Formats: sequence, structure tokens, C-alpha cells
Amino acid sequence: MTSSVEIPSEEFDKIQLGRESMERFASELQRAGGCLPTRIDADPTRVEQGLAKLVLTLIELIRRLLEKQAIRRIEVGSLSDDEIERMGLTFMRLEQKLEELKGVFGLEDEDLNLNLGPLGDLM
Amino acid sequence: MASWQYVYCIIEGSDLPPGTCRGLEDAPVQAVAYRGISAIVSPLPHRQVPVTREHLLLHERLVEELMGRRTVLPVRFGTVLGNTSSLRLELSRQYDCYLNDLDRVRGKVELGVRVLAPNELPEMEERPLRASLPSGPGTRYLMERLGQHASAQATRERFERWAQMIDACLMHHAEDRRASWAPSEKGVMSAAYLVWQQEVPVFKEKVKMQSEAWPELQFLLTGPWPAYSFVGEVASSNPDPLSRP
Repeated sequence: MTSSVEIPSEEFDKIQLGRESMERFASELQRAGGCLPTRIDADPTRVEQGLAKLVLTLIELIRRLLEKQAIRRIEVGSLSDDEIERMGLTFMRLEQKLEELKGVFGLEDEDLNLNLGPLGDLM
Repeated sequence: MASWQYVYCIIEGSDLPPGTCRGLEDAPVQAVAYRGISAIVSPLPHRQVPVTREHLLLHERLVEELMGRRTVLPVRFGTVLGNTSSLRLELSRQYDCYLNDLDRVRGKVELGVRVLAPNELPEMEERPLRASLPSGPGTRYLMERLGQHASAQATRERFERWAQMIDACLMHHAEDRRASWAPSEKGVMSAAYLVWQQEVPVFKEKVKMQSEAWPELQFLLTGPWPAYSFVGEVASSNPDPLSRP
């Protein structure tokens, strides 16, 4: 298999084991956000989308946290059947609304994240 | 006239080993000494260094050239300080830390170990969910989320068990380790080990044995590197994120 990952020349070859899996490791590293933090894009034509991205990322973060909290409460049995149904409907509608807003601003799922530098990605 | 100093590393000794290669933008490299240690620097006309493959490799090549001749505290790529006075001030402020770090890494190198889980994981036993719930859409939504959460949690626990077993074996041949378990969706572990230079072949053999013991996992072993993960940070007067930890 031809690798698209550029391996340094022999003078600087540091791969002791796993050369055949370099593609997979490179792609996992990139996905896990192991790169240097990117600069803020101050392009005025993209400010609106940038703000929408920030706001929707925060809403998505809060939604996930509240969902996790609800799941914990279901696991310990501290929610009634009615409460489970009501909360589930609320989260469902919130998720649908977020999808609509992402569509309006041309954002994808992977756009809703924030790189916190040494702390990694927010989500 | 250059008004910035690009920092490559801190070394033991007050002089630059002879024959050290030139630095970024073909600038001469010099040693800024303070009480028996030196910061290895080269002048820069501007305070930012573009992150290019060429610059990264040059930085690393220079640090490793010095690592072959002295004990070295590598400095993160892109670290730029104002001038030699601010450099000496930094050396004096962190002097004791640098001495401790030099002691810690003397004669040792860093080896990186990353382990990935297979793309398809064997099915795990499902945790029993709450029984006899009404089947409204909201409930179904949350039950699905609960199932995903339980599955992710079980996967994470499995990855952590694997990582701890692999690490327990490798730590017999290392002096120190910086690691995270289950760092990503398919990542089992991501670790840096501090190993005596003469122990590198044995450590490599142990990683190979682990990879054979766990054929379903993918192992990546890199190095030897200067001990980037085992030293403190060189502070910078430059707030630019490229030169901060």
C-alpha cells in the first residue's frame, strides 16, 4: 500500500516499530487534535460564521452535558417515566434545532469544537 | 539588525561544542552561558518562526547533534526570547529547575509509544437497561443515548485495562513515563518513556514482544528523541502561542 504520510529520510528516521501503520496513526493524531493551535481567522467576511460556530459549539457542549446528567439520573433511577419522556423530547427538539442552525451557517458536526491548545479539543 | 533570539535547547557547559551546524535562516548558533549551563540560540530578525517541515527538522537536527555530545534540555519549537539579557535572566530564574532537569535526563533518551485499537472491536456484553419503560419518542431517544454512553464507557474501560497491562511491562525498562490512557476514540495509549541510552535496544524488544502479545492492536514506537516530555518549559517574553507551552 502506498503511504501518503511522508516519512523523513533515513538520516532522520525515528520509526522503530509500526512503519506499516503510519497512515492510521497520522490520521488518528490529526483527528485527536494533536496539532499546534490554529490562529483566529479575522477575515471580516467570515466573522458571522465564526461567531455562529462559537455560539453553537457552546450550546452543543451544554446540550451534551445536560444529556449526560439525564443519563446518569436514568441509570440510578431518579427520574420518573414522565420525566424521561419530557426530557427526551426536549433534547430531541434541541438537537433538531441545532441541525437547522448548522445548515443555515454552513457548518458541519466537526466544525463545532474549540481547540484549547495544550488542553486539547473542548469536545 | 536581529533583535530576537531563537532558543533550541539548554546544555551543560558554558561553550558551544565545536562544529555545531548553523541555525534557522542559516544564522550562526551561539551559547549564552550562565553558571555552567548555556542556552543555545541563533539570532532572528523577527519574533515569529513559520512552522514548516524544514524549520522543524532543522531545529530537531541541531538539538540531536548536541544531544550526542552533551546533556541537553530540548526546548519546544518556536521558542523566541527578546535578547541575551532576557535569556540570562530566564536562565537565572529557572537555574535550579534546569539543574534538576539536567540531572534527571543525563544519559537518557525519550521513546514514544502509541497504541491503537482495531477499527472493529469485538462486541461487548450489553449492560441491562431499565426495563418496562414506555415507548414514547423522547424515551426512545434517551434510551438510545444511554446505550451509546454505556458502550463508549465500556470501550474506554477496556482500552485503559489494555494500556495499564502494556505499561506495566514497559515500565520495568524505563526510568519515568508520561502517558494518557484512551486518549482518543481508537487510541489505547499515548506515552513517552524516559530510558537509559544503553537500554534502548532492550526497550525496543519489549515493545515488539507486546505487539506480538496483542496482535489485534497496532503499536508505533518512535525515537530515540531528546527528553521533551520530561523537562520543564522555558518561559517566554513573547505571548505568541507558537512560543508558549
